[in-house]
Amino acid sequence: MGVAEAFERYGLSDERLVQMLRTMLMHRTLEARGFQLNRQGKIPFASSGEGHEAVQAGAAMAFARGRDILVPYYRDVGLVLGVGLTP
Amino acid sequence: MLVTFGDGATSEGEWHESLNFAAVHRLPIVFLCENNEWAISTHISMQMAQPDVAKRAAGYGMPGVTINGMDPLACYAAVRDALQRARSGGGPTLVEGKCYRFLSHTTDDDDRTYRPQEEVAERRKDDPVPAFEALLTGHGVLAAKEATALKQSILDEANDATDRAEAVGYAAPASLREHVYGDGYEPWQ
Repeated sequence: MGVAEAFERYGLSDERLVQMLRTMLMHRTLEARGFQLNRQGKIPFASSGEGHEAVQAGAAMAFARGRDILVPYYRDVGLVLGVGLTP
Repeated sequence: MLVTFGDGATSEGEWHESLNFAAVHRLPIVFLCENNEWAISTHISMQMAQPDVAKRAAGYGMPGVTINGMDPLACYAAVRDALQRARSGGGPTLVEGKCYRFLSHTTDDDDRTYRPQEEVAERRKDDPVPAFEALLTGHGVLAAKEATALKQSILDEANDATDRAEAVGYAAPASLREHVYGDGYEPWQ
């Protein structure tokens, strides 16, 4: 499959594909950081969505910010990052 | 509206009530289940007899879609379609993304007490993050050098956020009462 064909069916530009990867990587990094900080005694508690990065980044990309309403749960760091929450 | 939850939540009465109500009134809601097979220490086989959460949708009279939750593009497409259906008056959808929880439920949990680490290691082969990176670099969407730079910039941003959070310090104890009630109602006085 050629470069364009693999992703054409999704209608996502290269920029948006990289944005999804960025969301997934930031999700992974921040949650690992949460566990580190907890083990260092700096924060009392952290949860992890390690393994959920794909479903959350995909859903975030489909979400229309300013139009849709999001009701996430505690494991949705990637989803909220994807819709615009900053680290 | 996009609402998310895990596999464990689908055993709650509230969940069933919500789906039924949404379907009856054709509410514009996408119910996204992030099925990671573990509700803290309860494996999905002990949570439900029907392992495909999305199959329950038919019981409520709404469409149900099961997707590979480790594939971000498939998840994007399914949620996009469901949101479009909701926005155009087509009613609710139940989308189920099958993924896996690689770590313990939280820092207060130790998954070594209830599941074999061999299972986790086996499922780690489906890790969506390196897989998607490899997909993008393999198809030339992102050069290897750019991927490295991207990861460095993410680490820098995470470090900066950590430093700023640590510098802020703790809130004053008096602020505990702020935003609890509105209109100046303070029953503790």
